[in-house]
Amino acid sequence: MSSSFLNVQGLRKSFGGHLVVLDDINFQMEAGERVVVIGPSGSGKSTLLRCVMGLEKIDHGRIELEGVRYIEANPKSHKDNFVDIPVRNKVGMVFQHYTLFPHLTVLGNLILAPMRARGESRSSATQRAMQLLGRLGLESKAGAFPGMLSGGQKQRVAIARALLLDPKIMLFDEVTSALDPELVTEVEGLMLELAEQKMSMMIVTHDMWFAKRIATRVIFSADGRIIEDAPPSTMFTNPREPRTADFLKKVLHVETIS
Amino acid sequence: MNITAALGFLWDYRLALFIGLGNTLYFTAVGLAFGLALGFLVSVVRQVGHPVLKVIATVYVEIFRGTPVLIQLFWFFFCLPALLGMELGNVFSTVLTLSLYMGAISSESFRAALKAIGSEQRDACVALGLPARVSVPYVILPQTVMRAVPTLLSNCVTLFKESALVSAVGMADLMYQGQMIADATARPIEILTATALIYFVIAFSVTRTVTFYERSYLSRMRL
Ligand SMILES: Nc1ncnc2c1ncn2[C@@H]1O[C@H](COP(=O)(O)OP(=O)(O)OP(=O)(O)O)[C@@H](O)[C@H]1O
Ligand SMILES: [Mg+2]
Repeated sequence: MSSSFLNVQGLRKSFGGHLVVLDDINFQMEAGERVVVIGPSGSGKSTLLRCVMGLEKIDHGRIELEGVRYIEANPKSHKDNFVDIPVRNKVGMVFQHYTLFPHLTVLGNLILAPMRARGESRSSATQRAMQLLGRLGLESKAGAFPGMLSGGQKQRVAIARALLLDPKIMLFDEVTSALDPELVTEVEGLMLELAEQKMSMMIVTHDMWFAKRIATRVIFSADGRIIEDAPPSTMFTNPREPRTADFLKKVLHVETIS
Repeated sequence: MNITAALGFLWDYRLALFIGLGNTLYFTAVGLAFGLALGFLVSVVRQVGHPVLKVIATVYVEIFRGTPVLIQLFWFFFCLPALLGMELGNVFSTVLTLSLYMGAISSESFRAALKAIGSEQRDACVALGLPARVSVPYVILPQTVMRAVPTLLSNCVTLFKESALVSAVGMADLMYQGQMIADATARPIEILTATALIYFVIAFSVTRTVTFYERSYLSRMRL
């Protein structure tokens, strides 16, 4: 129906049947857009990303990528979603807590999926991985275990691991929240580089300054709904909704104090 | 007491002690092999098995963890053959008891390790498009085993030491040989001390290995 790049239609998600976290979300984005999702804690930002990644079973609705439906709730049984795994695999995601595989080296983390899930040869996967690590200045860490890296390095490796699978869209859920302040910029810098390369992204962050810099569009969500959807220039200076203004006043105020 | 004389006395009985140690190691090794396999199986059953199987597995684990090994040994030695009305063979009863005991205690170690792998690791597997045929052998299993190794090794030490109880049912293990020599020669001090020392040296080196493993591998990987 829609020719949107990513199309979320009538998405509803509840936990245990009664706690409705996302309520009839309709959301479209075009390729190359960078949508930052902001909103109070518990408003369902992570859940939205997790639904797009196919990590959560949805109650209602469907999600399409490049016009192809890849997740759809089954109206007859609430148990099973339809999932088109090859299409879902075009979505990449990076989490707050790195989630690298601790028993594998950096290189091992990068080449596991290309080799074992996509059938790429070890030499080709290794070559691509080393090239990417080189670009990120992490070549010397290829043989290191994740536990030996700084938080910023871990998070950049996690991003590299996702990028090596050539995703059409990348989802970032508070990827700098667990980092020491001085390590935040190296990760944000990498994300800005991806932005320059026109990578499509959905980003959840509490860092409004970064949101302003990277976003082409900002979504304010609260109580499981999208309250406001605007370009960053409007959203941060002249929000339409009072709730958005309230929220922004609070977080921007807190940020200037701390 | 004269140390040289004591050592000379012990030297005379080296063969008997050596045979005893061999039997102890044999019982421990067989108990380990069956026990570890059983323990892993039981931990998986308790995690994902059918509810009835889960109950059976739990009852089994709790019984063997909650009763003295000596009673278990006596039960499989005297009661089970009587109930079945057939001979089981002393070695079989011994190995059966040790395996079941090891299975019970090691299943707890496996279970804890399996649980400790967070849902985040599973999420990462999905986000990377890893099917179960990849994520289980390459992500979940290695982390489970590596996490379980320290407690499993202390389980091994426990089994090794508890195996001394088989002397109570007449198995010629290290403990049994030590007791026999002590009785026959009326020199328990030298023999029992030496026997204890042999147990200690072996158990201690395994314990040290655990510490080394934890320091060098687990801490490096922050598992
Ligand atoms: N697995 C789960 N089981 C039950 N409830 C959950 C689960 N995951 C999330 N929730 C609930 O869903 C709601 C939305 O959670 P979500 O993590 O999406 O919020 P968020 O906007 O990302 O918040 P934060 O800014 O704190 O990360 C919360 O009330 C949370 O408690
Ligand atoms: Mg969140």
